Amino acid sequence: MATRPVHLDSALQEAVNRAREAFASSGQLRPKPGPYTSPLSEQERRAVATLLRDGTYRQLADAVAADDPDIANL
Amino acid sequence: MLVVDDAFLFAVLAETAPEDLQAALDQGELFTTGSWYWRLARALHDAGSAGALSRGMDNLTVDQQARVTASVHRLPPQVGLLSLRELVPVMATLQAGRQLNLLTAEAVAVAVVLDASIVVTTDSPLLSDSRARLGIEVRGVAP
Repeated sequence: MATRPVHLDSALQEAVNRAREAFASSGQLRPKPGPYTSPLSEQERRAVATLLRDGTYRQLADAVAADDPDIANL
Repeated sequence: MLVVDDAFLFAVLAETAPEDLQAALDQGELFTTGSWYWRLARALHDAGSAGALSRGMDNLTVDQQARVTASVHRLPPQVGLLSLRELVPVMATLQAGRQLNLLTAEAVAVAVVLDASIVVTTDSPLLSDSRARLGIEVRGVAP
């Protein structure tokens, strides 16, 4: 999947080009590929899935964002 | 490339995310943002979160609960995170004439720079506006 930028004005395009060059130089454009294994046990992983599915995590994230508009879903 | 929000970051780190996100992680095609990472860390460590977290993990021992919250302390190298040193000029240019908060400005800037899709559990008006204005793909998916 990719974005389809249709309205990048010249100032934004210039800033994006500069950033891409810098990230390419520092190797940040591509994370290191490789198989990932969670350090959590099966039971712990199930608990995370439950926290995410039952809305507990969303409530916690909304609560911290309520005090900090810069990390809120505005 | 995919840029995931805090909830999906938590899910991929626990290997409970949808298959396409786990595959993107293994292939080095998954990014998040500093703001989403910060929100995840705060949500799991804020003093006000302790009660709800403990209730939500009441089938785990205290040590297991601690392992879950500590599981976000170190991002594996498979998760991409772009430096604000180079991203801020893009964020500032995006900001011109619009009121974007830090979370949205960073997410949109990362998506534009990487030509990536944003994958979120919760859409927002600011993200929707950016999708319409810049043609960014924003996918809303249940966690």
